[in-house]
Amino acid sequence: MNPEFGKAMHSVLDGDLSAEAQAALNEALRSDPSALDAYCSQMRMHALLSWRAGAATTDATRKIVVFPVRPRLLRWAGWAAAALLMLGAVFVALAPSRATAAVNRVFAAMQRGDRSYTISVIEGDARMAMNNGRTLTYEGGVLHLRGDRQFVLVRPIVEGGRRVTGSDGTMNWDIVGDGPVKVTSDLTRFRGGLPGEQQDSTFLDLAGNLSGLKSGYDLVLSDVLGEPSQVRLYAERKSRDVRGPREMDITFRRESGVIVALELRGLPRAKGGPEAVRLTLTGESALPADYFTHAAHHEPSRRIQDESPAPRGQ
Amino acid sequence: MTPEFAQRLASAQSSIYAFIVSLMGGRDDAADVLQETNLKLCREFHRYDESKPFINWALTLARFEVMAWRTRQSRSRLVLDDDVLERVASALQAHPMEPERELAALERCLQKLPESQRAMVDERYQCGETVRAMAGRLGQPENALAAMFYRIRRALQECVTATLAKEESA
Repeated sequence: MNPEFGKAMHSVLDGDLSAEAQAALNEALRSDPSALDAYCSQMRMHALLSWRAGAATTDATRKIVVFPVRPRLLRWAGWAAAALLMLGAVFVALAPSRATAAVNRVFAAMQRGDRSYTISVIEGDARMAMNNGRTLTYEGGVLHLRGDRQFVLVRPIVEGGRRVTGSDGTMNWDIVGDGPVKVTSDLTRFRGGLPGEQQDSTFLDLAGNLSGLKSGYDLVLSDVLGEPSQVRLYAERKSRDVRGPREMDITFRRESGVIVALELRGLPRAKGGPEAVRLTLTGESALPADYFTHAAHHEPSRRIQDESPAPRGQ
Repeated sequence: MTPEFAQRLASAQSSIYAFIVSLMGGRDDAADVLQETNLKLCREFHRYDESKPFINWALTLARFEVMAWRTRQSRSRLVLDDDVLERVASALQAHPMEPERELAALERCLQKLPESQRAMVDERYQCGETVRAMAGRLGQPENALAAMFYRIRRALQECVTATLAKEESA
């Protein structure tokens, strides 16, 4: 990178371009094709990152598309948008950036503090058979989250006991009843990567699902009637090719972005299990520092079964 | 006005925005020009030839709106000279963005950044902190930080391009 050109690019993007830097920039763009390429590339990425952050949403756009929408009404939103456009309310076209900004706020909130959610089944079978013949139930399950990588998911076993699955961000682990503690350095294990466990991924990969929202889902942002401090983000999957639940209905705090309720509908069901669940925020207090390690969930004498993949080359 | 047109307009927003930002040299009022462009597109929608790519037509109108904006500004507020603006516009229109795919690819590429760099991108773009302010807060030379952001944006652009190419060849 030509140092003068680099400085000029920086000044342009930071909004304090001197006359000298401006002249250098124009001269470089006029005479050097590689500088022109670099300028277009830098500007495009700058604009994409700004757009992703919702920076293009001005005060004028904030008055748009804040209409209460019931989930099934989303498919009519396109028609509503067209109707508003015909009335001259062109700002509706900017709604995606506002919804994207909302997703970013929710995502950012996930990075802060601990959250605990209870799981209730709205549709479908709450129970699911495990490979050992026992039956797991999602009803009454609890999900604890720390950031977007650490989780503990507790689900009751109908015959007694519970299954506790978790990750401290470096090791994933799974404890079924009083059986051995399975641990692995493969962070895709025990979180929906195995057949029949796809339901788990929708709980445990909330961060991934939120990231996918911005590209794979149609989004509608609305107020929550009677709850001015909360905002609702309804997301409907654009196509079956998109991984994740068919619909997500996220209610979050307007100021902090903390999710207070999350409904997931159209869950993958390879082996039965719920079709729709609701996660309700029940706790925000800090959990013990080691809470997301497996050791915090079993007695020290329990057998540890390490299922980590062999290092490469072996 | 048809729902299909509204959908095309909504889908193209990030592309039009990037085009306007590039021509205006990153000015804050790019969002205002985007709104003016949206108005123009809506008023002129009956002129749109559906057999041709929507984005090309939209960028052409956006270019006119940027030119109109420039006539309202004093010369000192314009970053690009007239002839340079034409060069930039032509270069961008020769390779229009694919907004939804590029945004999706960007999400994946951001995840590949080292955590410290991802955090800095968030501070710069999500929180809107300038490089100068960030340099002051972190006690780092402003030029070094600016160079780092230059490299990050370049790496992200290369990653997005490679991701899209990989998707197309799959």
